[in-house]
Amino acid sequence: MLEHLVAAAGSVFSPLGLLLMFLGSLIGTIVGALPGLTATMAVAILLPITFGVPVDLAIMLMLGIYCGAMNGGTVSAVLVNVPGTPAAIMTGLDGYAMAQRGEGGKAIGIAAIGSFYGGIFSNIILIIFAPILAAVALKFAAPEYFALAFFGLVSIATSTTKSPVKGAVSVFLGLLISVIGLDPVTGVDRFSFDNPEMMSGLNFVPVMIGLYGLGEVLMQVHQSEYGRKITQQIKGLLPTWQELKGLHGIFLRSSVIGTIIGALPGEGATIAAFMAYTDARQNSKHPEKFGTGVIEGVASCETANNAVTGGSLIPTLTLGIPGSGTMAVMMGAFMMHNVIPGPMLFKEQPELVYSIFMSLAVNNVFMLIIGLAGARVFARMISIPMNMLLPIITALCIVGSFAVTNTYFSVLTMIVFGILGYLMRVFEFPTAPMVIGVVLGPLAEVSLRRSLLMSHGSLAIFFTRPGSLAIFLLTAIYFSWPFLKRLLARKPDEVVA
Amino acid sequence: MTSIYRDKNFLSGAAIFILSIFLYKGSEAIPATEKLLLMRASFFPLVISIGLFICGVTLLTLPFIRKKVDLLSLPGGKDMLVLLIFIAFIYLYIYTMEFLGFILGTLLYLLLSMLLLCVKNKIQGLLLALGVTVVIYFIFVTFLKVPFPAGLLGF
Repeated sequence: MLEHLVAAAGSVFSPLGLLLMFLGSLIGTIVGALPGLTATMAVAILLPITFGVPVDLAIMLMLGIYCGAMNGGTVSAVLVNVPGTPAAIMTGLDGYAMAQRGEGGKAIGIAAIGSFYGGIFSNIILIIFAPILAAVALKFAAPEYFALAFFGLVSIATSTTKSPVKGAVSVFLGLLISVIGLDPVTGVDRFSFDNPEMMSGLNFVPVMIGLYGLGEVLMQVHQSEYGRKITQQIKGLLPTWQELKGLHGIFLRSSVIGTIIGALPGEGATIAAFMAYTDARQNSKHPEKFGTGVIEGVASCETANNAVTGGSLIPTLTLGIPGSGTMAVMMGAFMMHNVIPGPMLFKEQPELVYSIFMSLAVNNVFMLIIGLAGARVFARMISIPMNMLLPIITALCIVGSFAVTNTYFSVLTMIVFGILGYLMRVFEFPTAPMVIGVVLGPLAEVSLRRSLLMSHGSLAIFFTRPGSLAIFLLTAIYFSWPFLKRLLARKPDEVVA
Repeated sequence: MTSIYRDKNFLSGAAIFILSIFLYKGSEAIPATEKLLLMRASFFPLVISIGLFICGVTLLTLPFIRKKVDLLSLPGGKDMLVLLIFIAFIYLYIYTMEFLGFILGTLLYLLLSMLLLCVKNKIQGLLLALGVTVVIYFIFVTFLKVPFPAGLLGF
């Protein structure tokens, strides 16, 4: 173990490693700070810039972008009440009120410190629990993997939208994309229309860039939001020691909430921030002041939304099951570099796993430094009007997708999925289930068919093996929990009546 | 009830329904190399087509069950034109890249798109477009060795 740790530290703390992580955090923070550009979009459109670097450094860079983007969303949420990312929606409630009182700088400072706290806490949990979970997952066979993939797909379909039917459509569309090309079991060609570039399946990087990058750009052009210009000045970033001391409980509770929510498939940073905010208000001595510009409001949601980063890496790294759209894109990034997340990763590439753990911690440090030192610069950057940014993002989407295979076919794929992503937004279909469908499709299909082959076509195999049965039971409890909770909350006489 | 045909659920349901039929037919056409249906390459696509069929029918019937219409809102005349031209510019950018080359093509695309989206400060727009083109060229061509077309400028 020690030699793996030393090797990982060697690459994480190398000058190039540190430079890439710093750049990743910086770029991520800038993209996250720009209203309308999400962390998922940041990771998707910037993924091609990692092609030229070794796998461990590429992953460090991607993690930097991810962490930076999660924190960057705060700047515009606080200064102009336009969240840079959906995860920062709750931050705007108190952050913007603080900014109106001239305390925007302090709100950004607290957000950066809270994000750092949440990120480090979730990283520690990741380091403790990921190897344990991976060791358990090593015993899994095809039925357990199908049960896990099923859990991931169904939970993302039902939890990312008000309409589970639309979530299911999105998952099925993702699965449909995943079956294009040669069948992994029999080698028979499926839906490639004799196009040699489709026979090995659609490359999912242009698919993701299209869905998250171009799709969002077209939606903003559709909403005519491109003329928006934002200006704000900030001063005074650091809270007092007394204020920080008073926030310790909130930092801790919000970190726990964020880490747990992050580890659950389908839930994400937005929900974590909402839950942490509610928790902080419920446990506050002055709940009525929430929403009027209290530091507890900013601290709770920012700590929780960044604690999601480590939490969401737990199922992604150990089981190969991404819990959110961002994680699906991150997993796509891993796979582009021939790293297959799952329990075997811990066995076969422990150095890489340790470098991921370490780089997440270092990225959080960079995120804190950049968040505090660069706040004034980011405040200026969000004043760049969207009508200048949207063409630049589009050019990046085109160039990035071309770089995947050096062919125009990738660009065409990106445009087709960009238009599909736009239509999905117009018709209010979530895009995250589709991306997860694309990523989990091959695992779901192969493990289902292998399981049925093992049982000679009987579905009973999923309920006679303890592992798969336990996962299906967990799935059932997870989905029935809101109803069970309501039932348990009722008074006995109400139940009788 | 004519507005039902502009309902988001109804329209998307119809599209999903049609897609599921095509997908089912397409799945049936996949050559069967195995005896057991579960082991055939067509098994998973068939499952997907059935899933999409059920979802499509549900979405189609939703406005009738809810007795409420969720109207589709598309951009108005001028805004729709801007959106279509914006997409056309993307197509033109790719189509002319071989001839114009990466640098000229990107610069022209950025400037035209910014003008389309009514950038007020044209000097700032020009400088930003120039800067972005140079940065992208440096990252992708110099650093990542992506072979973008050289075109008219020859590099």
